[in-house]
Amino acid sequence: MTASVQDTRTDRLIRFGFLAAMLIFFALPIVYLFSTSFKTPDDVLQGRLLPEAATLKNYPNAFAHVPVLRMIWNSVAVALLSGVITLVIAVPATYATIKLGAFRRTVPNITLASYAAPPIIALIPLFYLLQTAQLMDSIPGLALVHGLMNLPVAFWLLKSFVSDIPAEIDEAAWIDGAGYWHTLFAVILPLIFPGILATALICIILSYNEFLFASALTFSEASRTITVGMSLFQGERLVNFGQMAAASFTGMVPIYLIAFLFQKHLVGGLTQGSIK
Amino acid sequence: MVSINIQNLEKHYGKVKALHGLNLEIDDGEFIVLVGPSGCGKSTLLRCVAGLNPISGGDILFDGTPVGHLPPQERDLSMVFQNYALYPHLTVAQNLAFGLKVRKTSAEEIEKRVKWAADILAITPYLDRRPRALSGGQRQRVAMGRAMVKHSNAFLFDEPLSNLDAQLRVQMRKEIRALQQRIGVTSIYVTHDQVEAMTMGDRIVVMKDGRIEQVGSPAELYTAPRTRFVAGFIGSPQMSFVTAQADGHQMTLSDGSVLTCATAAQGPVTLGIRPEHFLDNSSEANRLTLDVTNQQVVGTSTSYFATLGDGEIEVIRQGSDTERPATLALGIRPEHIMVFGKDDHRIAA
Repeated sequence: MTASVQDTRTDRLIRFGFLAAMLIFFALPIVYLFSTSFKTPDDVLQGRLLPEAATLKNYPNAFAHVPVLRMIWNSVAVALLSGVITLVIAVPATYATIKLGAFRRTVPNITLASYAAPPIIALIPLFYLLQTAQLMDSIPGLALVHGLMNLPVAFWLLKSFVSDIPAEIDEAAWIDGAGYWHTLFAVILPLIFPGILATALICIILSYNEFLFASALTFSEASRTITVGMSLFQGERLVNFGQMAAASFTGMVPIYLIAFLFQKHLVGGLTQGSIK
Repeated sequence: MVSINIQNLEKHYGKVKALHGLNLEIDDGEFIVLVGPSGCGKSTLLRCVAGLNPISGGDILFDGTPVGHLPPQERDLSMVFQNYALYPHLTVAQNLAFGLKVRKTSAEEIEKRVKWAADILAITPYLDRRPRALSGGQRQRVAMGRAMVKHSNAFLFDEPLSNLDAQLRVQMRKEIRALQQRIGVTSIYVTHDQVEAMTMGDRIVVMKDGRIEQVGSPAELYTAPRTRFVAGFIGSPQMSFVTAQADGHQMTLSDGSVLTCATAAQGPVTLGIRPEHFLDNSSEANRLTLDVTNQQVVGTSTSYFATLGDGEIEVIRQGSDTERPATLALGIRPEHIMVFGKDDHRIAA
């Protein structure tokens, strides 16, 4: 009895120690970023965790140097719009592929292959396509690129949710007289709603954090996103780490807030299909 | 309600033929049961009628109108699935109303029909519940209700009772049959359980390897099976088979014993005897003394297993016999011995 209690205590200690180590591992960069946002340039060069003489000036200076709030707003707009674009295409596509058997063998492989390819190879074609469509340097243009870029992720996430719905449910709706679109909207969508929410969140996060396309396809303050804004703190010879940290930390807030509020759905979406 | 005519129906999956040119006529209001072992094509046939599986050849006619090319939405059928397939996010009332709403039926009519079905099926208290809050039997009733409210051309049942326990299955069997007779709707019912088939169908279609072996009433299939497969599949306990050498009406078994049959044949044959056809009366034409190898007491009756010729046969007798006898002295009437030729077809008397 005593031995088992001791074992439990030891187990708890080990578990606690492991969790503490994990927490430090993941939280340290954020804590360091937060701390850096209050450091003077000298403090940054010292490399200490905590600033010797904390300053609040980095925040107003960062906002004066780069339009941080405008860029955050651009990022949010691009992320939300791209999430909508992704879902509008991915949900019917996944349903058609998985349930109706349309290109059942080719679509999953093509989407996976396209996601595995380095994004840089799509940059030049996308540049010309956006220019032709007169969507260059615009929020809808970048949202369209992000929306299409995230399609493979959305397809693979939604695939497990759609596959989990028994075929008889669709068939019952068809027998009841519902067409394929009606079945999708009245029966399938409500059943995979948690999956749609999780997929939307993941796509929004991916779009919000995207840098490569955002830096190449947007030039003006009206459309530049916060990830591009971060890079503007890097001068030719000097990087203003304090201001960069202040802008980064501010830029993290919206996405962390979304992730925090919807973490239950996020976890559900990422673990779907892993256990039965 | 419609009559259903299946003409030369074929279904292929790549190179595999699931249905081999089936022909079947189902009368308006008839309850027909498709029965056979797993993989015989009974569910495939049902799904072809439903339009859920596209057909590869032949056609299906409802009241003489070809529907083989129509999608399921346009066939106006009702179907009860093995796992009920209720919409989990809708209440019982919404489940029942779904098909009617799709057809843009008026709200008044929907309410009337949902109430009508719920009253008949005794599910009125559960109308506001979601399917997950119902028992298996209640879900089964909701699935039935969903089929009923539509007043459709025909009912299709795909092994609807196989997820229920034995007691509930017997009850639901009676309820479904009574309901079908009350509504008078043409029904096709798929099962692998021959007892279900025998107790429910006006006619039974026995299938094997994508072909129809025989179509007939339950009594017809029991008393006059055309093949050894049908004879073995229909009837519980199963018919016993032994091989014999025929010389007219005399059948010589491998152990030398001779049985007289009502059927005349020549050469190697298979004899089929139903366990319940053995008689205590030893004054019959065929007297047998069997060595009992095993015995099972099943409540009101006892099954004995004994060797006869080169096979093991089952004998069923009334009463619970707890002590196993070494031998059984029995008789069998010549007309109760069925004779099957080398092609497994029954040789007529």
